[in-house]
Amino acid sequence: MPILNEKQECMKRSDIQQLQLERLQAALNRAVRNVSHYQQTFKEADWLPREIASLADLKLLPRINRDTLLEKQPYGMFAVPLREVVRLHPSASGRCEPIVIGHTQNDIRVWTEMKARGFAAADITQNDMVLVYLDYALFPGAVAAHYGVEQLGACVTPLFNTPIADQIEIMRNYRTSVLICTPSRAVHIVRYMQEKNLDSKTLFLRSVVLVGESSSPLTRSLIEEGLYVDVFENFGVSEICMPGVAFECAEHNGLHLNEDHFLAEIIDPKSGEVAENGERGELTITTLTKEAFPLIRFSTGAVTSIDASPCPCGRTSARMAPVTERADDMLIVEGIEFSPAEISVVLSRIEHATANYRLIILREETWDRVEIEVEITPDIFNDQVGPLEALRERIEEAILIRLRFKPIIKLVEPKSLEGKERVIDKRES
Amino acid sequence: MLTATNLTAAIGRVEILKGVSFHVSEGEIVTLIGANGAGKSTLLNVIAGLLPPQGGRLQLAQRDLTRMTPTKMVRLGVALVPEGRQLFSPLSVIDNLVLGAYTQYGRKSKTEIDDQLESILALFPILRERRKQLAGTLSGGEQQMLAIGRALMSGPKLLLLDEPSIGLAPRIIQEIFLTISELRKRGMTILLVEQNARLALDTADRGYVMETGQIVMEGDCADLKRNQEIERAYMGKGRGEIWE
Repeated sequence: MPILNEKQECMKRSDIQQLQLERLQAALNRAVRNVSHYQQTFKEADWLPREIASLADLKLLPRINRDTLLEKQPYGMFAVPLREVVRLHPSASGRCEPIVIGHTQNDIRVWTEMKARGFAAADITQNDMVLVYLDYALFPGAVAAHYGVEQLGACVTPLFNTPIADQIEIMRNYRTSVLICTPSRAVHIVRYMQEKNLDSKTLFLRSVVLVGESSSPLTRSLIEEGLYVDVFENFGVSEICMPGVAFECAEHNGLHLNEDHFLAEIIDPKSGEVAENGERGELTITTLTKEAFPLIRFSTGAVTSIDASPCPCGRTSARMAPVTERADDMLIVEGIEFSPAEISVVLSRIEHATANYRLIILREETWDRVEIEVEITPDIFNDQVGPLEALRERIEEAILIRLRFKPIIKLVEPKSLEGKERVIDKRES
Repeated sequence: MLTATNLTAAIGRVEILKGVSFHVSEGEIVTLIGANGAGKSTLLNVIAGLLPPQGGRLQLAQRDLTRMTPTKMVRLGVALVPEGRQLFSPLSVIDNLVLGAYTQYGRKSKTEIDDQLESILALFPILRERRKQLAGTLSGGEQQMLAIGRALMSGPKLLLLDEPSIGLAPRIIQEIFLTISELRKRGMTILLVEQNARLALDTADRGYVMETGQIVMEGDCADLKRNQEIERAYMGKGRGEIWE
């Protein structure tokens, strides 16, 4: 499989580390000069950026998380004047407002290259017809994936909100050879084709690149066997670039981190210390080249491990294991991230609704849906349908505004959810 | 090829370099840009062995150079073209060039050194024309070429250029920079310190931006040229303030 940027992707380990140190020091100098939060961080920690003399010294600095970013909304963490920012993406914060992430022209260029590297590793070439089935408005990765495919010279068809039958028809007609979508969409296509007795060999698909959510081995084999394709996973963090942080090569043994742009650490959840090579823990990322929105030791919430042993594909970058659990309570449905805590906040602001609720993630025929059962207060609980229907609509709308997706709301009797599990994920069953 | 980590250096009591890390790979032109007083020339002097660093590490092809004398550095293949040329003005062009090879005497045969002289005169035909003239009577551009030629006489692997464009007319500057590109084609590794950021970024492969003794940016020259902060600070492209 071709390697897009051999110079950067196949560097000697010692050279990568030297480059990371140089970029880290420059990034710290810039962050301290331009972002008051980092200035404060160094002051409080009583360190100077120049005292970070090795990659290991980074652990002297405190970590930041989504709460830190939220406090500084909207532009407090930006390191460049706004007129240098060419794109803004709101990202789910897991709280009540989205975090706005900015990108300069160089950031976009780097992001595009990160995507192109991942796609080149998935053997996308200029001979491919690529269908990007992602939400271009809500999911920042859609535009990035689109640019990445174009950079490789392949032909891209953007698509979203299309019925499955039409999508399959388009893929057949356009001779789509690569599909880029969320794992759930790919599974839906497989299920739909099985139900309708459609032969997936009549498609021209060769590979599927999964973005937005992580996929279990079960999902992967379902897609591989159902569509006769090779499956590649891409990983990203919505506060940095989603996806674009790591990608899978043809060896399928973990996701190569783009180490020339991101410095990854694994934090042991128990001790809060940096874990040894190979141990599992929370992925923490420091951006090395981000101009607009630099992050220093950002806790991503993703739980993984890192393996720096050489990969037979020739790339020397370390590989992270696919993310199958999270250190925080973030849920990802159809590429949209949210946290149950956000739903509590929304519900607490609505009269007659209580913060007692249950989230059920369903795999419907064409789409994953979130169903929310909400306990209502006894005073509205009577035989009249009108007020209840109005309440249901109000909750639905409030969640749509806050979380950017439309859930199915079911109102349930007071106290009926007591002692029940709060989140039920039915996607894998 | 050359790797520096956390270099610190002071002149007298004034700390000039405050933890500088950078590297130059073989066959690359790397440029170091920055305003006056950022510490660029000091860094070159440290690499050339003229100023001992206070801390940090300097390695050339895995070999530690942190406390090397200038003579040793030249022998190891590092040659400096100093700012302001620093020629031997009362000596002729040829004598200046031959002096550049003085660390080679006794190591290389006379024919080898003559061949080297010949190849440098081929690179700078104007020096051949003026070979008998005294160095001090040359024009600024010719002096700069002579300074580069003298450094090349030591047969370096890494050439350090300190402000080669300083005090020269634009047309001459272009000529000098064409020569720099030509040297790279011949496999020379170059570290170029330059105040003319645009020119430096057009010529080099990779660059570092220095500010008050620290590196604040590293990247491919194409990326650095697109960075608007660099445009503003070093390329004189001011724009109306919208939000600052």
